[in-house]
Amino acid sequence: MARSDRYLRLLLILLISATFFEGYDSSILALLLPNIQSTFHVSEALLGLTRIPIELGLFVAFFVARLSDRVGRRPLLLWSVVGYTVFAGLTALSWNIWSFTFFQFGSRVFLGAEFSVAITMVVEEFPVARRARALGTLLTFEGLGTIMVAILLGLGLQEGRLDWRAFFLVGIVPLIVLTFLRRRMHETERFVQERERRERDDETQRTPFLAAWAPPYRRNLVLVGMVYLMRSIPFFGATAWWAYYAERERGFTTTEVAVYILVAYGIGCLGYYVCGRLMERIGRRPTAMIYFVGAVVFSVILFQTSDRVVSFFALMLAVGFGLGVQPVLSAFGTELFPTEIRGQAAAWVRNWFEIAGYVFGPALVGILGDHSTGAIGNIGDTVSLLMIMQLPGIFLIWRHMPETKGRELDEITPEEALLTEAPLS
Amino acid sequence: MAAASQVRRSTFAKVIALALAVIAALGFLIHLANAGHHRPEGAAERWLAAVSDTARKGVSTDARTRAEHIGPVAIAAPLLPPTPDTRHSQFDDLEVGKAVPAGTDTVRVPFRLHQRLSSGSGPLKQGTLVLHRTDTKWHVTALDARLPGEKVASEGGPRPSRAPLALWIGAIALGAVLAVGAHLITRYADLTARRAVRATG
Repeated sequence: MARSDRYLRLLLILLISATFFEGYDSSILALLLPNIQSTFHVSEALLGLTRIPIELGLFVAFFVARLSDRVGRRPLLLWSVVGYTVFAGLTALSWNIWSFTFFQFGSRVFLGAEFSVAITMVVEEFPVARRARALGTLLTFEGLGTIMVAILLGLGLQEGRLDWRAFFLVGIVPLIVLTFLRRRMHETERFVQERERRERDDETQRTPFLAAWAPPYRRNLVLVGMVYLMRSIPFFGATAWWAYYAERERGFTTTEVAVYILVAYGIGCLGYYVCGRLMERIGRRPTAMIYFVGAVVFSVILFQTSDRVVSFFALMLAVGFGLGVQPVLSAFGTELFPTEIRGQAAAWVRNWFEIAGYVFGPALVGILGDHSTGAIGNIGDTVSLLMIMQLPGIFLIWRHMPETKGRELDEITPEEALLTEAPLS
Repeated sequence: MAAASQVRRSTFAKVIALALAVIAALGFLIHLANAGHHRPEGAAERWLAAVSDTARKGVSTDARTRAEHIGPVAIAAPLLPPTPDTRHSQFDDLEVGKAVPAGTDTVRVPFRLHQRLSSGSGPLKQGTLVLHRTDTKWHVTALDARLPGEKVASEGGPRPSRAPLALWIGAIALGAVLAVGAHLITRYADLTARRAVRATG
């Protein structure tokens, strides 16, 4: 069953491209929107409108990601990388706002699928003693993707002849890496065993659309889904609006915002790594609760303080706790489900529950915090008020979430979670 | 996988319909909460942001239309850099302060911004915009020097708007209600799952 250390290291390197480019791609759109607007000569209203189909790509990714329970993790990951690279390259060649929107939609579909499968592969391949750390390392690169965009912006890549298009051409790198290393990547052993079992039992390879909602898994799916949703609404609202808040409500210059993002984000990314180590040491539930509480406290401070020094440290810690909680959330979204539906369950919690927050969080902050017509009228108070939505998430983790620390995947059965009121230990 | 067949598509469709109804109801509530808010600070900020883009390649026409809708672009002439950088906005940053009443349907909104030069951030420009209300809409009518006490938030002035204490208390209460709701949903999912598992033996 055990893979060699060398193979696991290689696997992690290959999977890192999925998380790195998820952070990278999302940030390009957020930070280079004015340049894209300028190239295609479009109004702000139309620009805002095109974001809807683009972000819907992450929702459509669900239908691709769930195929991993049928065709396998490896082929789906490889084809997702190819799909993402093709669409990233095509985005660089866009000739108008509609072609740009379509190519970005396609890019999001494959990126979303790639991300879900990468998490599932880490959870299935790494032994229990190293699983949490591997998740932490993998997800650290999501934050580093954002930092890379900031560095390239600082270096003035957008000032060259290719303008913003150069940023999308960087997206071709994963395909180059994969071309050389794809033969060394294997199907996960757990999936191979599951496929053999299905063939032995003459079961169909096709996983029903609602398989993850079947009675044995329903409770955990609802539970993990609600934790994801209640975290993602305020979290994505905060990340989407911080730069705007800093400039328009706190008087930061664009340069100051860029420096804050680069430095505070850079240090804050340690939160991912620490999370991985901590969940290995003290368990998933306590780690998640510490991170949720930290995210709420430091985000409220960040969106209320007018002191620049406090703001810097609050941003660093809000990133560390808010983004850094991803490894433990990924563990909840995969470890609690058996191999035959793990890919689909991970896709449900991420591409339905979390993406709902990704769409509604920024919209809620924008509508309620609008300086002219919003009921609250400012971004700082709106984000701080929304942070309170994380409290139910903390309560659910404390009261209902099963603990899976130190347990092999085969030991965790959904029925076990059903039969006990108290969290498993 | 046999258990999967027990999930009825009709039940799933009902849950999706319920979720959509909740979203629609929330949208309606937010629309009601937002109704009637027309802050002069927001109008002043939008006007300055649009003016900032009036020389930017590709978006200048749209920006000019948006600005003229709120007030004449000519008013902003003293704020614009002498040689605009057509690749970027003309202001590097901008912040507006709380509106101060200055007569019937007229307010003064202090602002602070830095010009953007091709070499980087340019000189600081401070001043006050005078806005006049026609029906429910605010229009920029003049640019003026600041009067004593007119400051933006980053200079120690009051914030343009603040959430009232009742809203903070209400949000905490809503958080508690959501926690109870989430707890009940989890218990319900648990209960129906146990029943189904028991029924299938």
